[in-house]
Amino acid sequence: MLSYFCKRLLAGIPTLLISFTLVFFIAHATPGSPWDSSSNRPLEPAVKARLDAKYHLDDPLYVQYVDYLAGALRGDFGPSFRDRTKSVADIVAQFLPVSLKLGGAAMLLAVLLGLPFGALAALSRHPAVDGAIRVISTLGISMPTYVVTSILIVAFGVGLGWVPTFGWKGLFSASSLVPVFSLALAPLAAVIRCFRTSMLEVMNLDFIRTARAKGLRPMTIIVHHMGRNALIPAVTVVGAYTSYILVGSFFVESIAGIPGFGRYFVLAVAARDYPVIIGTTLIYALFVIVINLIVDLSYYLLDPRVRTEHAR
Amino acid sequence: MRLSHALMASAIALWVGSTQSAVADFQGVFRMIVGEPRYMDPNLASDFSIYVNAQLFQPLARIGGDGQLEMLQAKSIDLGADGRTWTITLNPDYKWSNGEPITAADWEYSWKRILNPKVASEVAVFLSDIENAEAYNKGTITDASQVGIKATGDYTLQVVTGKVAPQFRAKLALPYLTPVPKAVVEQFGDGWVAPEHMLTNGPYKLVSRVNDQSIVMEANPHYGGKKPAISRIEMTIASGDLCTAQLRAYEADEIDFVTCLPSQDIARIQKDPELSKQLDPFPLAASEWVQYDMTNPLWADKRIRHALGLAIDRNAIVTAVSNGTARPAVTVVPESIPGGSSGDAIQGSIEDARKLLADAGYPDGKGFPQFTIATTANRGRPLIAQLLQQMWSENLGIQSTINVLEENAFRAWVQSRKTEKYDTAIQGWWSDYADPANWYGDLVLSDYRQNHFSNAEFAALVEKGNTEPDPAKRLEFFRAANKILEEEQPMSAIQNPTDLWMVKPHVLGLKHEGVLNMYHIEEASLQ
Repeated sequence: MLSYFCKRLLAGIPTLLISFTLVFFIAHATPGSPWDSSSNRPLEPAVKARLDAKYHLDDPLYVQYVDYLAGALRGDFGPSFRDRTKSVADIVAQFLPVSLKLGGAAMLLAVLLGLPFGALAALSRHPAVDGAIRVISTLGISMPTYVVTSILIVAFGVGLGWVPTFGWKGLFSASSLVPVFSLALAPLAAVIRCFRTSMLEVMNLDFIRTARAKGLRPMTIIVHHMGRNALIPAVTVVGAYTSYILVGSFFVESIAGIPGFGRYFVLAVAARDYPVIIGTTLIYALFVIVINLIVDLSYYLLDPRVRTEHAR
Repeated sequence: MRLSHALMASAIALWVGSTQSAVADFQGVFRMIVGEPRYMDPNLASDFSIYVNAQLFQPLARIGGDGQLEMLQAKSIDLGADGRTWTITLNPDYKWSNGEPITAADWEYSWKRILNPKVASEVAVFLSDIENAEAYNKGTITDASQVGIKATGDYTLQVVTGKVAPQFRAKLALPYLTPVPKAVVEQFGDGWVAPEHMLTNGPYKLVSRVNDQSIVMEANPHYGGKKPAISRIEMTIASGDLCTAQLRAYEADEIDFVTCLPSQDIARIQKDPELSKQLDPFPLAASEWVQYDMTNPLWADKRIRHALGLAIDRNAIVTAVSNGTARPAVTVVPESIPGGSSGDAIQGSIEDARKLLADAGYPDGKGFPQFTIATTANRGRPLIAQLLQQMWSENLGIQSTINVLEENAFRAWVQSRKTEKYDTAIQGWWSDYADPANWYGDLVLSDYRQNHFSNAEFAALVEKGNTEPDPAKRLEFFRAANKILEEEQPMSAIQNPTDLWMVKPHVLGLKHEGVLNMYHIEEASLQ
């Protein structure tokens, strides 16, 4: 077991290196320069040359690649070009926690609402209940987050004035309502659909009938026997969403004015802020690797069959 | 079960409570949304950061409505009989935000810092009239004492230009040419702009700044000018679609001031009986045009350029792009700039345009090669490109394709056109300072937009205008240059943009200032 996870961890290293290489060359191949601002005048060539020299952008690309990789291995991703008073590490420290809080709250909401709704949709004899839940989940999956966020802001911010239209005043403030809900909607819908399907599958299995025949209370059967078995596919779905929601949604953060990691990434791309683009992409890759590992680990804990397979 | 109920209730209470307290705080505070300033250092910023910095830092003077300098940090600005020596007497009432005096040495240090090649400031170009400034900035001389900027007394600054440069007067009012506190900059380096270190000379001081989130300013108690009526400014930082974010927040009463409107909302605002009264348009001394690569043989025949220029329906463009808030432009240099005159525009109908094209060898556009219109993806320019494509096709029978490039990629594309050929591009120019030298000299002669227009007569007139001290004679040179520019038609003008502000009725006295359309919150008050 331990060796399996060690292997998986080691396999993450080439993944990170490939991500680093790809993003490095794609960023540098994109036309445009980090120094050209949106001002009226083009940057004087002499000024551009001096800035390039100061940040070693005039070195051959392979030299920059090796230098940057050496720095990155020491944990030094260099200064941000967009805000030269800050390093990439400062930026991660400032913006990632906001996205983590927002994404954490959204995932929590998705799971806390998704599992009961999914179960309800599967168990309900009433077609209206199942139908209503299915409509919500279909909408949640098919509406892009930027549409949901815009609609919610216009309706509840501009129209009703219940929530601010823009900005961030912490997780426990009205400013987080729209972004948390917009972010939660897609994973919520996915959890509902997935959990509903797997509950329906489990429902007619022999061991459930046995449990019923033993006279166990319906709630015990639903939670302990059906729920636990149906949970495994849902965990996969949650894992897939977690990595991208925790690191920050580009759309939701930009539209709702959340100073998070996703928004900063978009700004960095527009500004050709190479160190920040590379740094943020690597963090994102790291999250995907770690969360996939956690999902695998959770199979191991949830499903005795996996444990026996590994024991063999 | 009870415990979870209690937790839920307290979470809701926390949520609601924090909203209510936030609303209560807004009294007496000016609230707005701005883009994240790229630089808080006034000597480096040339993009929209200047609007944020202008609340904190102040130049020597500003240009008044009559075109004359109104003194701010300077008590007087006098030009010597040689036409090159400017003697600037500072007003000692103005102090740094910690109460220490702002001396001529601070000004000398700051302006030389702008020129210092190591600082790599984008605004160094605005000081290039000064003796040896360009040489020092380019690194051909390393001794800063040779630059014509000298503190000759505690409060006297002497600036000598390389040659007679009447346009330097207008540059003295530029928002970038402010002092910075020498001791603080030297101690903290780039970090001097942090709220805990920054000293300002303007009406406000920086209280807090959270990157990409907020900027808070409060009145500078040591400001030498009139004390601001608004004591606190709270700026929320937006990225991406600033205009949409501003309008939403404005309509929800979260902010007091909007500096631009999304084009799709203009018609609704104009029709709304309340909101339309809060609309505050400001015609800019700016232009947008389509330009032809003058080194490309495709455009060698002047009649073709005239034909394309005459075939543009400018009213249709301003209606489609900005609901008629921009103004159709028939000449490149706006009429508000001395020298500019719409009377110089080429005259003719669509019929005349067809005839010109036929005379050039392309009757009904037959045989005219398909060409490309390049444009940036923002500012409604892709729509302008589509309209041009359609008008040229329908009116002249010539076909074009459109190449839309992301903003930063477009700037790189424009720079690379210095040596590479292209067909046409949609471009624009916003006045940097209120002087014709900024258009005929910087824009056309310096070829900032890679138009490659070269005309010896035009160049000679502009050179004469740039160094002529007598304003009336100077104007004549630029008037003559403008006629050549329009007759040669290296660019076909399209529109003069208009800035659309919205100001809440309880905000009084917020005025537009200068060609950059600056705002000065210290002049405003809250009812």
